[in-house]
Amino acid sequence: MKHLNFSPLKKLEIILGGEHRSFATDLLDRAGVKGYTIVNNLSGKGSHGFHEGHLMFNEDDVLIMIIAAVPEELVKPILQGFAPFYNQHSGVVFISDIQVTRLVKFRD
Amino acid sequence: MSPPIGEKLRVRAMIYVAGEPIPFFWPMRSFIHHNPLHGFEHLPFEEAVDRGARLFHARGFLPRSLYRRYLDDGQVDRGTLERGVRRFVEEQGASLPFDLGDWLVADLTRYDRASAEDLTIADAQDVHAVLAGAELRERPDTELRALAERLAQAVLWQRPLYEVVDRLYGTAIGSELDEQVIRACLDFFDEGQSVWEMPKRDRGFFRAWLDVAGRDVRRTLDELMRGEGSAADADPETVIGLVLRELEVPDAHWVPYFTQELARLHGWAGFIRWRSSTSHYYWEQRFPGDLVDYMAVRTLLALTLLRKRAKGRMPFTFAALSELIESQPVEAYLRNEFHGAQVLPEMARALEDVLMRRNRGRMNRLFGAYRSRKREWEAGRQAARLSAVAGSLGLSDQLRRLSRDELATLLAASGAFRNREGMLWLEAMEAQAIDGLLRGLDLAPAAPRDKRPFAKALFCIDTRSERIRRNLESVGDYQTYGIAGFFGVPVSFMELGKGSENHLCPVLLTPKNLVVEMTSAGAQDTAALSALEKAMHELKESVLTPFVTVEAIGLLFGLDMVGKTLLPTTYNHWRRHLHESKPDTHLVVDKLGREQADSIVRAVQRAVIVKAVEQELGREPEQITDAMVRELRERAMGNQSSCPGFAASVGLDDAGIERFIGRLRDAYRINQSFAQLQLERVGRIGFSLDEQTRFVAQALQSIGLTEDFSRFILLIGHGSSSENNPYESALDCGACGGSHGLVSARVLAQMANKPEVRHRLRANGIDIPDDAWFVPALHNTTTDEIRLHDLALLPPSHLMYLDRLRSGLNSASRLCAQERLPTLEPRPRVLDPAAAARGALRNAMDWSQVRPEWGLSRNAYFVIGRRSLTQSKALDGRAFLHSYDYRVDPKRRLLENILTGPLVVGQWINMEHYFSTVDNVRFGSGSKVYHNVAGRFGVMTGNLSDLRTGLPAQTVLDGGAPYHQPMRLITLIEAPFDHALKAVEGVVTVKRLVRNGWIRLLVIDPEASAVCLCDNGEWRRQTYSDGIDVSMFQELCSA
Repeated sequence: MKHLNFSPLKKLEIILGGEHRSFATDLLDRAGVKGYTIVNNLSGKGSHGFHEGHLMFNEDDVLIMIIAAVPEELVKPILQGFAPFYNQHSGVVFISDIQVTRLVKFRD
Repeated sequence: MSPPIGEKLRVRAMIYVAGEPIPFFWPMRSFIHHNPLHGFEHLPFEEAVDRGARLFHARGFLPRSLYRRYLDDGQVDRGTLERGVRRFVEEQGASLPFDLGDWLVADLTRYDRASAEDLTIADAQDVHAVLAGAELRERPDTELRALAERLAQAVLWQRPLYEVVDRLYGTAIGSELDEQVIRACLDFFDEGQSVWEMPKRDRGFFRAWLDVAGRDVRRTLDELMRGEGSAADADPETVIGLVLRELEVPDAHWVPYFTQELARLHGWAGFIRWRSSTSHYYWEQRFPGDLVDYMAVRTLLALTLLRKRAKGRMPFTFAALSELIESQPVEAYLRNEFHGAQVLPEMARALEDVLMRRNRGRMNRLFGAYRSRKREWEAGRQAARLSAVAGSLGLSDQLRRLSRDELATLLAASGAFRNREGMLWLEAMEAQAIDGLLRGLDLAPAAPRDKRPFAKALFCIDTRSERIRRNLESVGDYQTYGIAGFFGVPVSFMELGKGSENHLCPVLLTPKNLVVEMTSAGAQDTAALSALEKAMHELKESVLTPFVTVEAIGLLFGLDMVGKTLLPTTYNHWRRHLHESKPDTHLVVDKLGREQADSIVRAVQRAVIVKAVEQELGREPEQITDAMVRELRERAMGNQSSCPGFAASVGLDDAGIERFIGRLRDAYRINQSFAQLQLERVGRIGFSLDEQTRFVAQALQSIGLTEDFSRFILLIGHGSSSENNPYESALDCGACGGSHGLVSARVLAQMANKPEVRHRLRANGIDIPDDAWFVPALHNTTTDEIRLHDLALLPPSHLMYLDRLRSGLNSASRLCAQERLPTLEPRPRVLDPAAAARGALRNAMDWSQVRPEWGLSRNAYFVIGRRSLTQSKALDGRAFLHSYDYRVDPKRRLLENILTGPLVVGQWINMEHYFSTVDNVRFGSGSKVYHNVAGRFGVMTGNLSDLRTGLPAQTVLDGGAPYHQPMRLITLIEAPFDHALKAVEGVVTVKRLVRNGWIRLLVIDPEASAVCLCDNGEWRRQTYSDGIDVSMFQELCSA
């Protein structure tokens, strides 16, 4: 069996309104994040009340979560980048410690 | 050392957030009606209008004189108006010796201007003194600190710095800056209108502009970047940060500062904002430019201009200006009065004099004199206004006997009332309109028929359909329905001969299916074409046409390849030779089989290989055999390891062959993974049988047409025709993304006529008889003609009824034109139908006609319910009518679909008309006569101005007065109250629009015979009877 190398990274879970998706992914791209995953059609509750997950016609009005695994040095710049956004919009960012085996996919 | 990545991202996010209040601007080729205050829809209507009006320096309501005219015309419900005033008075809680309510009503209805004046210096005591005929009291003007604070707040924090300098020193830096920025935008964002292109546009807006910007700009940038890195590599975020720091703008103020900057040219900002957010916009992919670039250009230019015009002569940084206001409030005050255009006329000369000499002593003396004179003047004016109102009510004595405190209360209330009166007028006007809608509705369920109607016709919900539907119903046994203009089927359409896709659906949606147009006609006249063009031409006319045209290859190959290798200019030349009349086409609506898709990709690859051999190796197409092409293809795809036939024919050595194959693989994308991608893209074409069944079922169920199908079921899309009209797309169908609705009609008809689809529908409970046939048609809203299409597909059995159908449609068209034309004539007169039809036709073809039709002007209502509810009413083309039968929609899914799509589009249209009417200069686009097309996507007034947004004067005004009646959309849903409410609550956007008062919602419950009105968040109820009156909505509904 091949020996697995575990490398520590940070995971960012960015939850925001679907209409801001391209803004968020653009910011991540510019930060140098190599890839991300998007989870759609979420619902939840925040300080502004309950958010319905409703696709129907309007694809923009749902909550989404963007998951990205980033090296530690990118966490602060990314959070700095999102700060003005979250001053005006609802959503959260969770930061957690994770490990990955194929580091080359996440870091140059 | 350039700033760390976090800082750059922060600037980017700040600009994103700052840009949100600026509405999108869609290219006018597909004009989209939208709410200019869309960025404020999360706020209640009144607050949003207030903030929007301030941001865009515009008016949110009509001037009082126009509302008074509506009152005189009986368009305003006086009862509601007075009730609104009394509610306001109650909230104020003022106690005066006379009835404040009466006072305010008199003020409101008898005078064209509010009685409350702007008191900047004078106070209630002063006014009191004037009324008593006494002298104004001595008031030491030691409130300099307060003055400074007020000045800072009013002048410094509300606008960009150059505007502050302009306001205090009378310079014109702001307009100079705007001019330069507009030029830069016109050059960069041009879409083929100008002959000389800006060089190196692919480097992005900021960099490309920097290349051609003048010496001054480059010098400023060099100075800025000193120590931070090379100016040549400066990225926009860095530049913005440096400039704002140089101008000493406080960090916490950056976001509002950016918004103010963007609002100055909100047309351009809105366009750039839209352009950078659209994923498939060709021009954005080639020449990227976003708001961050725009902000970098603006701020760098601003700094350059400020340094040039202001440095050494006047303060221009935030800190310096703040310092001026704080330490020299007198000078700042006088400057603001004079250059800010609010000076007392009689003292203007003296002010000008003193400011030029800059003598401190004289300034202070003049300040005192000016202040006291202005104080007198303000107090005098206010007293006079109050006396006038009092006089008309016979309250002159009481006014004079008011105590100081009471007078202060009166003034405060009048001031607050002036801010409130717009809403009061609006609500009163809406009340009258609601009254007009509710009278004469027919709640009874439709009587059962013994014979099916001759034809059923589905029209778009567009307000213009109301007239033709009424007239069609009157000329024969026709039943009409209203459905969204795209018939519920979002398609991306690729027209014959064009390579780009058009989204035929509301902009809220992204279509997942592609429909292409094909022809089976033979080749066209090739006499005028050159050899190269001929090759392309032949590609075009074959059955595989849509997949093989130059730009279509773009679809399947990525756009960079088209530009570099396939000579688009040639294609454009050739395209212009195309005949005006299109051959008969049919639409590919079914999904392609795997083999078909495969052979299409192969065909495209073969065509490209032929081109490649031509271009790279200089061989004529005639010299390239099919066998060679096949060899090359297999070799490039990795299925073969050599191509002996080809090698022998062209005489290249191994290395040369390798190189060519490499080119095929990379530049021409003949490789496995790309072929896979192409297959996926080709797979987007058409709808599966399941999808077709679903769309047809949904369309029919949403309008309640599930049985009793007539012989003819007409699907009537609409479009307009006009000449020399940049706004022509605005007259087309909004539900079809600004195009006409014929394609959608043809698509749905094709689906619904398919036997396999009908078979499945039968299993779902919708039984369409064999002799029922769906016929697509186009209603031309300028001429009112209805033309039937795809008649070649009509079954022979139906041919003999065609005459009757045509004659019915013709009569309806002419009657409709007869009804409509008088509104377009300079003087209303009665026309006979033939004359009206001729007049309408002329409007469509006259290129000097600025008003080919009124379009959606005067829209007021949105009705969701059965046609029989409104059939007996003449709604004058003012209503969006969507057919809906709650009895077939137990889960409310269909109602939610109507709410989330068509209703939102209706609201956008309504709000666009509202704001373009109340302030045509700031929210609308002014007169068409002065418009010049800019860049092929927008218009400017004169030869250089902001991109004009909104609707032109000719669309919403008639000789200066409003033609469109600016009101919020009055929406009526016919369904049991619970049913309707749950549906509204289930759609987030609509719930928010209702709660914040962007639309007025009514529910009519046919089972309970009651109407409920949503009034300021509360539901009020009234039994429906002949005596229904809008004032009787008192009883609260239980939710």
